[in-house]
Amino acid sequence: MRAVTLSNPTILRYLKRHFVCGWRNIAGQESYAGTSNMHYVNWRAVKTTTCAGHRNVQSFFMTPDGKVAHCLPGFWDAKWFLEEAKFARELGRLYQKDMSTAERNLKFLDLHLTHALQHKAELRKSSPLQGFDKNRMSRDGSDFRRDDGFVSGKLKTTDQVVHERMAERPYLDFSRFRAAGFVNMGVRHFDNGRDGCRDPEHRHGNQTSVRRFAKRFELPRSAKSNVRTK
Amino acid sequence: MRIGIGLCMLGLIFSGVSTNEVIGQDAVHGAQVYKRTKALVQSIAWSSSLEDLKAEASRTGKMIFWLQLVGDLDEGL
Repeated sequence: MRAVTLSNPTILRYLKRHFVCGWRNIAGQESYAGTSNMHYVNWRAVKTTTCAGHRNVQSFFMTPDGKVAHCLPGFWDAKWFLEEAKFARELGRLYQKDMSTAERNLKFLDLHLTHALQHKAELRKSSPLQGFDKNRMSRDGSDFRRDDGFVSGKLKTTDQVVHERMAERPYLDFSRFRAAGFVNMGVRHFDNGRDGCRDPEHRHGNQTSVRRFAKRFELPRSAKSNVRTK
Repeated sequence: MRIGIGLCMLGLIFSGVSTNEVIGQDAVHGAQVYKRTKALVQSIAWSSSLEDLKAEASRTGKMIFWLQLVGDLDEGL
């Protein structure tokens, strides 16, 4: 995210011009913080699918008094990140308007859902859930399931779910924004090498069950050797 | 033409390139990652305090961009 998107010259200029910026390391600080293989500052970085690494990176856009207008979990390509940052500014302007809270919240919901509908096909195509995440999020009760409509049974893409979730959280103060529920898009471990994601919450205790675990999720042979317990 | 596309697809399959890697075809190499990260850290005045940012945002009228990471922005992630 930092090497591909945030350091993109256009993004850098935009952030510098329209935002005051801060960052925080959430490792060991937040229950929803994910785990991943170590990635050093001089290691190769690749673009990946939208929202991949949802528990490892979160980009919040807030009003000056700390109300969350938008949040992007995980990776977003620079092109889409810029669109979302511009959209966040539109929400920032709405927040400044003189109107009732109910009216503003309704408009917030409307803007998020309309923006999601207007996402380009290219963005939707690059926003599928990754393997293990898909398995986790296809369970009953998940908001990724499309239970109604003529495309029922298929899972929604991450770019759509982000806006649906935001629509339910109009201008919440950052301290009240329950990020754990918001960033839940699958397993906790983001495997940037794509050599077999594993979920520490469901880690098995011995190699036999790990092999069974790998077989159950049909990991490629190379991945099975990488599934290990700590 | 069709044969060419077919051969390309076969090439991708046998080289072990997944859909994700096709999406991520423009990778940033190690040295570039270092340079770009350095630029990111140096060209923006990053703060670690949300309260300070709120004060600055109120003063300047800008919005707040708050990044949460598992790891350090300028070091390992």
